[in-house]
Amino acid sequence: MSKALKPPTKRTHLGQAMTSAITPNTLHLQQCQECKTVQYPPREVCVSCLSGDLPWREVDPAGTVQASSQLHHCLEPYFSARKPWLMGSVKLDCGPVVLAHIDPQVGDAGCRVWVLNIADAAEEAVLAAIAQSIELDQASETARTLIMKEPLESS
Amino acid sequence: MKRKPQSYEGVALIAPYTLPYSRVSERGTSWFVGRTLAEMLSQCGLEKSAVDGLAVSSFTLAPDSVITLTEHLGLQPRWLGQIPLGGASGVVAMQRAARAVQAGDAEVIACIGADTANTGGFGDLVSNFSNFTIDASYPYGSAGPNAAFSLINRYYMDNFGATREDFGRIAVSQRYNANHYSDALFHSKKLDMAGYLAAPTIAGDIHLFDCVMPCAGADGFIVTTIDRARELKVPWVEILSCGEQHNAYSEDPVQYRGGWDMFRDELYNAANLGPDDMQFLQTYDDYPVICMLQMEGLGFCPQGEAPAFVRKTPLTFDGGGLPHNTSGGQLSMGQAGSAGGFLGMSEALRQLNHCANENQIDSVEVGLVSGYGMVNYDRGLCSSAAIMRRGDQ
Repeated sequence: MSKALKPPTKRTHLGQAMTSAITPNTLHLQQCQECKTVQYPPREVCVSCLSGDLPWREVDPAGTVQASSQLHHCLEPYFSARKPWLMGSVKLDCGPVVLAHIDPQVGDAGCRVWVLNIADAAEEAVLAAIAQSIELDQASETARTLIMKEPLESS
Repeated sequence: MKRKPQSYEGVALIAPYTLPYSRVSERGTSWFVGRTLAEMLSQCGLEKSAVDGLAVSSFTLAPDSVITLTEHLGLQPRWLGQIPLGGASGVVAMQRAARAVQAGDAEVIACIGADTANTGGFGDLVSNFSNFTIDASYPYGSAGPNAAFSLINRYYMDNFGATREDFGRIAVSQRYNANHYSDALFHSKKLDMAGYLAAPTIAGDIHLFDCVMPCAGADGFIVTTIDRARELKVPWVEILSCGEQHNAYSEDPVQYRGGWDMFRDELYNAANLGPDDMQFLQTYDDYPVICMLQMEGLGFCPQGEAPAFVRKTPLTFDGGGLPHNTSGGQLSMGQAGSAGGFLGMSEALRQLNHCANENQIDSVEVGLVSGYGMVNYDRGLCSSAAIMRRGDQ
């Protein structure tokens, strides 16, 4: 049964824009056309200069893990079936702090990672952080394997 | 140079009330607001028609709002406020109401934080909390606030050397306080350090007794003039100073401080008092680590030294140290949504009126209430605090 479960599909129109921006092995985020600030989560206007001209651009995917957490209590059955679910926060070299699904091979705070937009099991865009020991041209595939992991055998 | 806030002279806080919390309720939020208002009025002998202002905080009021409540409750106010600041709401509602009373815009303002708790309501709330939540936090394991706070907790442990026992000192002493406050949901359940440490894991280093239990309930108080309080012959509390700061230190990669240190000097200066003069501290305790950020931000100890502070300072109401969250806080009373942002206020007023429960602090005259609220993405955005003194009655 649980294999049919999906992660949450609800997004705002800005979150949906991230789905359109998915390109393998890259990170696309909103970048202000006026002041060049890279921002996340997606906004209607630039957090720095309030410009409304915010195209999604390819940005530097490198970042550093700030903290990670194994979630043992998830409200969505999709994650409950796969718990503990690993997520964390990553400070990107290009500026923003992102929450992301995290590769279990990634260590604690300080670990260098690639952050990518990938499609999750519901084909919605999410961010995933992969250890930099993985070549960048393999990163999306690794990330997708990671977050599409099979549910635990029911006990 | 920032202008100095004016004093809160002439303002009285009266009629604190906590509507006993319940784990779940099928009642609507208006019931909690209305019954709390009724109890507050009965406590101070005011008629409902005397209420000319209403400030409300709630997560479960929609599609109603403070204006639809006026018709529901049969009120004809000339001043309304709706304060959507979560755990900072109680102090902020008080501040807004106090200014309106001082300016003569209203004279009797009821301030109420209330939420119901229907089955499944908590999941609906956290999955739709805000646009950032929908796009950028809920899809990452859908753990609600536990996820963001487990990251804050981990970062704090990594950088400031806090241990689980340090967080446990806060939770265990609050449970002791709740064991002396009959309306706490966990009033009759004891918790010791061994029990705290043995709790199941929820998220990262957050375990069961670091988390609040969502529930239904309400807290409130009335803001009026000292003259009116005297006429009513009820005890009152005065505001010595008050401050708030929002979206502070947004450049910090993980939250390890709120906005309190940005206004604490003027807070203490206006009161002509310092942290050592405070006879209690009521913090917003959604998680023990957040109590630590408030202890540091409000100058009870330096930044990063709350673990050492809680090791050496008794936090129980009768421990002779710093009485902290003397009714048990949300960790032991339950988190009745927005009422969680008001319970520190109602408890502070009971303490200063010398009408607390078995948990009354001896000879208490002055204390501090602080608020923290609204995790939109990865951190709480609101910080508030007020210093209050027992009225000169």
